[in-house]
Amino acid sequence: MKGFLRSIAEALAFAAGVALLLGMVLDGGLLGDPAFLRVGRHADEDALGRARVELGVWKQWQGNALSIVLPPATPNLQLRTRGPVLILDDHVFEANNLEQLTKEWNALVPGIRVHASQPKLSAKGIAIALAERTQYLHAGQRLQLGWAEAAPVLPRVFSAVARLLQFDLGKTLDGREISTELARRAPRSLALAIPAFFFTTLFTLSLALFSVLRAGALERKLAHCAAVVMAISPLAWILALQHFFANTLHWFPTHGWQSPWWPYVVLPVLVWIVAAFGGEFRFWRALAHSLAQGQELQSARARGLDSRALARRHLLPQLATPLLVRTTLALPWLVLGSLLLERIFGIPGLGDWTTQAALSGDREALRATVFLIAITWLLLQKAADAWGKKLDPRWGGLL
Amino acid sequence: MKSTSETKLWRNPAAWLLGVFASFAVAAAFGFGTEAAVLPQADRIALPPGAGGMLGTDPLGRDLAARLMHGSAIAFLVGSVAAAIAVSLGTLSGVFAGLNRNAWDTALSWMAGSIAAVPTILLILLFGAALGPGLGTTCLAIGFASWVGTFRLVRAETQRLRATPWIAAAQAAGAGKTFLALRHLIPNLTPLWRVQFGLHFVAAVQVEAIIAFLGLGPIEAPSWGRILAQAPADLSAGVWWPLLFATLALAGLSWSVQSLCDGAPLPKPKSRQP
Repeated sequence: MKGFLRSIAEALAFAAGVALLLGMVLDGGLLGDPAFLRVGRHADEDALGRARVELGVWKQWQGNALSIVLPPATPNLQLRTRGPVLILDDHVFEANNLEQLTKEWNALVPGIRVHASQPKLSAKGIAIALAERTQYLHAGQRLQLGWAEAAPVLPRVFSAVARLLQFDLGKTLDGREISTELARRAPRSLALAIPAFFFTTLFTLSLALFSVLRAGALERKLAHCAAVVMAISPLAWILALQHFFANTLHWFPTHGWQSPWWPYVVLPVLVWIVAAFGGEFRFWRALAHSLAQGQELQSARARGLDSRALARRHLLPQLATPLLVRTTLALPWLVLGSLLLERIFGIPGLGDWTTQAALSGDREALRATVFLIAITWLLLQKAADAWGKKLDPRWGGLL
Repeated sequence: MKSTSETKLWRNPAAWLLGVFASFAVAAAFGFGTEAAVLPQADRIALPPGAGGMLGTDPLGRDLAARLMHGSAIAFLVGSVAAAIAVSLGTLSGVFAGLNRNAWDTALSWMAGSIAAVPTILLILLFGAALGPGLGTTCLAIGFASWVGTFRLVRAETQRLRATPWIAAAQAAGAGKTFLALRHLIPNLTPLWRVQFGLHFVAAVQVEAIIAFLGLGPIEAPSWGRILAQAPADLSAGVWWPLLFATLALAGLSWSVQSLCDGAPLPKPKSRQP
C-alpha cells in the first residue's frame, strides 16, 4: 500500500511538472509572447495589445495614449526601452506620468508636439506597451504610442497550472468545450490506432520469433529488410501507399470519415503496419534473440524440443512481461492516434485536432491534450511497473 | 602506413555516402545551384528525369537535383544543431545530476521525467506553435524535446563511473567535482554521447521532414520535408519523381549515419589468390 501511494505521488509530481511546463510555454512567455500564438506575429499593435489583455499578459491596454509629431527639418530620433525605462537616443526619461513625460519631451526637442490622452497614466506603461521594440521618429510624421499595465507573471502561470490540475480544460478558440471535443474525437483515433497496434505487434512478434528460431540467412535478410524500411521516412510510406492503393488502384477511399467508418480505416492501418514494421521487428528480434541465447532454452533445444514448442513453452511466456508493458505504455499515445495518418487521410481524430490547434495557436486545446496524454502515460507507467513485477519478479522496472 | 581505423572508414560505403551528402551541403552553402533550386521556370514545368536534368523538375519548373542539394544543407544544419543541443544539454545535465546525489539530482530527474511524459511530437508542435515556423524553431524544438534520453543514459553511466577506482583515487587526491567532470567523466562518456549524437541526428532529420509537412518548418526553404509536403499535389498530377528522390535522399542520409553509429560490418576484402 505504501509503495502504491508512493507511486501515485511520484506520478502526480511529474504531472505537476508537465502542467508547469505548459504554463511557462503557453502563459509565461518562456518561448516568446503568447499573443503571437493568438493573433500571429504580423498583427497590428492594437490587435496584439487586445490579445495580451485577453490572455492575461496585460491588465489594461490603451491604443493612442501618446501622440508625438516631430517638427520638420529635425533629425530622426530613436525611441527604445530598457526594462520599464524609456530612452530617446541617449536621454533616459525620468517622468512618473504622461503629463511629466510630455513636459520632458517638450524641453528636450524644441517645436515637438506631444499629446497625452490621459495625462495621469504612469509613464512606465508606454515602455511596457513598446515591449522592448525600437520606434523611429521621423521629421514631420506622427507617431502614436499605446499604454499598457503588465500583469505579474507568476500568478498568471500558477493560475493556469491550478486550473489544469483541477481538470478545468476550458474552451477552444471558437468557443467549443474541449472536453466535448475530446470525447467526440478520441474514439475515432482509437478506431484507427487499436487495430493498427494490435496487428503490427502480432505480425512483427510472430515474424521475429520465426526468424530467431530458424536463424541463418532468412533472419539476416529480414533484419536488412527491417533496416531499409526503418530508413525510409514514415511520411514517404504514407504518401506512396495512399497514392498507390487509393488513388491509382481505387481499392480504398482516399480520405474522409463517414458511416460506416471501417472502410476509411483499413488503408491507414495497413500503412501503419508497414511504416512501423522496421522498428518493431528489430525490437522484438533483439529481445527474442537475447532470450533464445539463455541456457534453459539451449538445454531444451539440445534435448530435442522443436521450435514451435520452444516458442510456446519458453519464449512467449518470457515475452509476456515486455509485451504487457509495451502495450500499457502505448495506450495513451494510441488515443492520440497518428498525427500524420489522420492529417493525410482526413480522419477527424484527436491527432488531427491537435495539429490544427498547434497551427492555429489554440493554446487551450494544446494545453488540454498535452496534459491529459502526459498524465495518462505517467499513471500507466506506474501501473506497467507494478504489473511487470507481478508477472515476473525479475522485472527491474522501466528505469 | 595507414591505421586500421582510417582504412576501415575509407572502405565503408556508409562513410562514402555521408561524404557525398556533406559535399552537396557544402556546395549549397556556397550558393551553388541556388537559382535553379528556388526560382520557378515556366518553360521547364514537371519535366521527368533525363528531359529536365538529372532528376527532373517539379511542377513549378525548379530543378529537383538542386533542390535536393539545398535540402541536404538544411538536413545537415537541422540534424547537427538539434543533435548538438540534445547531446550537450543531456550530457552536461546528466553529469551534473550523476555527480550530485542530492536535491539537484532530484530536481533534474523530476524535470526530465516531466518532459519525457509529453509525447515528443506534441512537444515539438508546442514549441512550433509558440515560436512560429522557421529553421531555428525546428532545431530548438527537436533538440529540447530529445535531450531527456541522453540525460538518463549519461546520469546512469556517471553514477557507475563514480564507483570506479580511478575516480575514487582522484577524489582522494583532492579533485573537485568540476575537475572530475571535465578530466575524467566527460572523456569517458565520449563513446556514449557520440552514438547519441548519431541517433539524434537521424531522428532530427526525419522529424524535420514531418514538421515541414505539417507546416511548422521554414516556409520557403527547399528542405526535403517541403518537397514531401508538395508530394500529394505532385502525385495527383502524375509527377512521382520528387517523392521518390526526396525519399531516397532522406533514407540514404539516415542509413549512412545509422550505419556509422552501429559500426556497420565492412565489406570483406576480395581474395588475391587465383
